[in-house]
Amino acid sequence: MKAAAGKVAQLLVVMFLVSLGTFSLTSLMPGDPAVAILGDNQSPEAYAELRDKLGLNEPLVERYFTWLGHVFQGDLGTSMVPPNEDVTSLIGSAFAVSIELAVLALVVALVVSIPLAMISARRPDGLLDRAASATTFGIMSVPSFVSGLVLIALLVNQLHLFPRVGWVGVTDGLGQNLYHAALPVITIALLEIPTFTRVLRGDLVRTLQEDFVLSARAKGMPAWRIMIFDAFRPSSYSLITVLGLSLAQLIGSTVIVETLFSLPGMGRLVVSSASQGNITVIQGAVLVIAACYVLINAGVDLMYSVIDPRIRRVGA
Amino acid sequence: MSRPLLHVRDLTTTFTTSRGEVVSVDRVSFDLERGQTLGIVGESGSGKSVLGRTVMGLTSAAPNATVTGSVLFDGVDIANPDKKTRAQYLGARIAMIFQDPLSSLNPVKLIGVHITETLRRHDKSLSRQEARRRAIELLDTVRIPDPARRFGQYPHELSGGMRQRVGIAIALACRPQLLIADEPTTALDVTVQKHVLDLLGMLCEEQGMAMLLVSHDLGVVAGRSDKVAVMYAGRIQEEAVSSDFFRHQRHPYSQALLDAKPHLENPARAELVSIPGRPPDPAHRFPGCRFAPRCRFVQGRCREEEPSLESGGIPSHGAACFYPLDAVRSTQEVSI
Amino acid sequence: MRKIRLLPVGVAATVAALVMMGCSNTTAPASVKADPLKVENGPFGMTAASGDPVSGGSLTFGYGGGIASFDPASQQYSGTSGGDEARAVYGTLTEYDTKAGKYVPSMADSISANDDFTEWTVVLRDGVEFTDGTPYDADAVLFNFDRMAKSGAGFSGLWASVVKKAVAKDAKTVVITLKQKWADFPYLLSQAPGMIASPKAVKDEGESYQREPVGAGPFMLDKWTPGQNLVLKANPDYWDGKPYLDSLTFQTITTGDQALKDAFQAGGIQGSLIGTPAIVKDYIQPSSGYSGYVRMTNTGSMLLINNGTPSRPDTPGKDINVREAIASAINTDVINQRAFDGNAFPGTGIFSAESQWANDKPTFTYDAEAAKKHLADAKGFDGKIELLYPSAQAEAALTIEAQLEAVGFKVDAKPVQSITDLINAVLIKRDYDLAMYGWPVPDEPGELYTSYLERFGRKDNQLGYYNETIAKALSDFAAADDTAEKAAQMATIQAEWAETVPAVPYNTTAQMVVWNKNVHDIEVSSRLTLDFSKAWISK
Ligand SMILES: Nc1ncnc2c1ncn2[C@@H]1O[C@H](COP(=O)(O)OP(=O)(O)OP(=O)(O)O)[C@@H](O)[C@H]1O
Ligand code: SF4
Ligand SMILES: [Mg+2]
Repeated sequence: MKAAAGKVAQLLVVMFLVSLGTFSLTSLMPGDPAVAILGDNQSPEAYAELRDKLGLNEPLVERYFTWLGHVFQGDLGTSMVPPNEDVTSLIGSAFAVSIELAVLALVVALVVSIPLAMISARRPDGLLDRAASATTFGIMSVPSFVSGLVLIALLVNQLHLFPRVGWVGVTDGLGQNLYHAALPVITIALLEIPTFTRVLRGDLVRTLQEDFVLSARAKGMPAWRIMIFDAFRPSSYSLITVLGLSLAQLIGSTVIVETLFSLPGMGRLVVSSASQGNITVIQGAVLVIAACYVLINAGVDLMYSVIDPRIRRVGA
Repeated sequence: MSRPLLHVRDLTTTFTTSRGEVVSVDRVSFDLERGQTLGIVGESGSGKSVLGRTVMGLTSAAPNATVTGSVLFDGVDIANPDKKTRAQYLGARIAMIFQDPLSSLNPVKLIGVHITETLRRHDKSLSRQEARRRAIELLDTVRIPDPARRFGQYPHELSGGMRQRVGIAIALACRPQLLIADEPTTALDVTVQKHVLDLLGMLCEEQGMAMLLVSHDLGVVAGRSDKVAVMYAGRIQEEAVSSDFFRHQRHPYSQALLDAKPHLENPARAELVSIPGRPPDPAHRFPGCRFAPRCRFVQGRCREEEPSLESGGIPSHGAACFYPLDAVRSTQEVSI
Repeated sequence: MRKIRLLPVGVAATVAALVMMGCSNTTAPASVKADPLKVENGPFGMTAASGDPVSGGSLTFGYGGGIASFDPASQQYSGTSGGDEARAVYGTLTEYDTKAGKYVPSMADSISANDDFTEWTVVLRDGVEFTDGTPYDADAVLFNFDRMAKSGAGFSGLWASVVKKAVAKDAKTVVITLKQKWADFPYLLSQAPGMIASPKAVKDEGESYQREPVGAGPFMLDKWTPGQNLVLKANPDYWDGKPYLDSLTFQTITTGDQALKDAFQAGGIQGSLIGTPAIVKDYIQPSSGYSGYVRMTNTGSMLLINNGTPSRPDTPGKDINVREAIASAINTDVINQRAFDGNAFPGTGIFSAESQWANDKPTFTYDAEAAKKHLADAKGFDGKIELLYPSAQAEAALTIEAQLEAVGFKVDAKPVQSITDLINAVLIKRDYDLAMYGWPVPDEPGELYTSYLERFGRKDNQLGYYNETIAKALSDFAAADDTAEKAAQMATIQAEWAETVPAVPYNTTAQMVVWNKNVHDIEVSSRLTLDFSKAWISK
């Protein structure tokens, strides 16, 4: 109970600091909402007038606290740029896209990495291990936009298996949703697979040298069973850590993949808002992303204790 | 008596390592009758554990190990078992108890599950409830108080002695005919050691199990084994019926080992303080007797020719020595 | 320029550039260099549809940007930014007939002017209603004019400078009195000011109107996820008959033209708007099997020279010798080869070679010796000059920098990270020496006039340049109804331009709308906006 209260306090502090930090950096952002709204065809006076109307000429501190006041009333405001949507709903829909992409990508990455790591760890430095290691290293050194483009060239342009761009929400049909999510998910997953595989393989190799693995073998357990039921769980701490970090990172920053496939996720929302100086949207997004980091962190801690009964006791 | 339960001949385990070929177990032969206990004693690194594991067919799974010779268990060769044989024998007819009860229990698995998974593995028809009941019964058998509660606990919640009792319970789960106990008490407190050893001895007797009792400590083996084999640098140097062995040791190494015996209070690995020098590097073999560099009685022949158990001249009390100690010393009483 | 909404310049443009690099082998065959791009204004590949139009089906167009807001009062739509979407929902009072080169009535029944083109009468059709059932009448039109004039955005500035007043003569007649003679005034009514929103909906919905528009055009809003996609459905009560298409979708594709092309070929979209020369070239080949429309624009790439603005009164470009030196130093063919792989359309005249206003008046020619001489004549100038350029155009900037340095300039080249920053420096603060900028202006007279008016036809412009002769020629161009007369005015401007060197055009740009062969009867109008009211898909 106490621990939970501590986490909430931590959450609030982090969110406050992050929002304050972002706000104070507003002037460094490339965008200007007045230009974003008016385009490049108006008189200088029109821009000045609009800036005034948007309150951009007020002192930063004042603007921040006005904003903060609204946030405490649960109001994140509206986007400064047409069509001036509600920030909450803007972020809500972008977040739904990002979280789905991130979770699916991580699931795909795990589905590939776990067996791959297990096969590799089975005979360290064996043929399969070396092949897997070379492959993952190769994938690792390819930036996501390149792998994305290769996938596009192959799966979209040649085989016509997936749509090139676009997003269909889950509410518009799970089939279409997954069909549109598939390629970006694979692209992101490719990015994660090498790390996951390597981290897990290393830990599995170490665990497999433990006495309890030998003792499982002495019980007549087959190798696959030992790998899955004895070695995997105690080998998954680093994997969980990396998983948490990846998840947090993916929620806020899959910009390249989102842009590549024209997906309306958090990354693109933040970047395009920054290019417009759309501070209300950025602030809202930053709050959500910061909260995700803190929550995921807490989730990872929780996972540790689920996996390891020894930690559970200490935590209780 | 017909054929022995365990009939080991010329068993050799070689590891291919970066330092070269390491022959950890070298042409080891022995027999073990049903219900009997063979104590295997030797310094650290002498190959006892590898021997135990090889007998269980566990080393052959390691990618860098080669096992030659034969291990006939009840007439079936299990030195290089295939999957099916392994599944049939390991854990069911042959079981093992490990040196460190903490590290040999999976830290993230319930005590009970360690036992039930063995039970259910070897008896597919066993229901979950029945397995649980049997597991609790087993915990009770190894004198664990409040077994139902212990069933639902994790290894780290138990004391060292309790953990090793769990190890025994796991090993006994399927009523094996052979138990390989590799230093079952080395990691335990002195006071606990005796309890565990006595329990083990008692259960063997009750269930008619044969046991390979591996220890670096002659004191552990004394009074708990029918036969004793002394290992040095991968080879058995002396082998005899316990009473004979403890009456008098014929191999100079055995005697040195016995001199080191009072170190029971010091559970660290036995160092042969009475003899200067260290065991030979297993990667560097040399001709002649392996003990020669440290032997007080070494002579010219010892450096040229390798003695075998028969070299001692008494078939019932084998000693791999050209100049056994028969005349040299009187016996010492051994007790724990 | 409204593309800035989706940040094509920052990450997106970088990615897009990388996309193009990565896929260049599939899109820009080596033969491109040997075979310079010949692009002509106008339609291509359109085959006469066999048989009668059939109803049904849905059409998806993919665009790099997309509509920002459905409130026409505050927007300046174009084909690249919301023009098609808004036009589908509202229709426009007039439209540009590209074949006839004339503005003709569309949602309006007729439009006519007095003799000197200072008073315009718009007559509305009988019985037209908005999709909320309210009447599309003179009051509605005036209501929209009024809102637009007061918005401080969109066309309000231009409107205020041109229109004196607009009144309703009767329920379906609006009379607009201008402050000046303007033969192409209907242009304005073919743009956002001619998109009439339901006054009831505007009043009822308030702030959210821009997301839930109500018009009287051929389509109506079905579902819109800004920045993602927009789905419109046919308006069954459209005055000119229910459109053949059941629905019309606009898909936002942020990755650049290559992605549009990919999506096109993968079948995700059936039409698109593309500006990358190499890709345009692929499509307009007769063998490509696509239909579409190409629009060449003039002054698409400009090297703007600050001639002296209040925020930088002592800029080097104040001196005509410096401007002459710059104009003589630029070699557009080299820029084309280095920065555009030979796929661009180099030229230093205001009008592209394809333009209907192209003339024989002098343009700038590359002459390094002359440039050095001019530079020597620039008394008191130390050769230091600053060049602003969008970071996405580094290659072209590098080439220009090298060319200027070769004749003796000391160039301080400064990349700006976003188009916003460039607009800020050039258009709003007017604080720059040289800037790489774009003024894509088509031949269409209405748009040409209003675009150049803002840029150099009036005092206090971004160049800090004013020339009576040019200003007069431009307003005479507007006042004239006769094409030959108009062309003469443009020739005057070109001649004066070459004489006084306000800025240096170095490239023209082409824009292309392209769609599948089985899509018929899409009409192209001003600003490359499309009219889908009669479009249909053959089976
Ligand atoms: N997997 C392996 N690969 C290479 N060498 C090994 C391997 N396992 C054991 N050895 C070597 O075999 C020799 C015998 O080791 P073993 O563990 O059997 O000794 P031990 O008699 O059990 O000693 P201790 O009292 O320390 O347990 C040692 O030199 C050891 O290094
Ligand atoms: S053979 Fe020789 S060296 Fe070896 S133990 Fe016997 S006496 Fe010592
Ligand atoms: Mg050992």
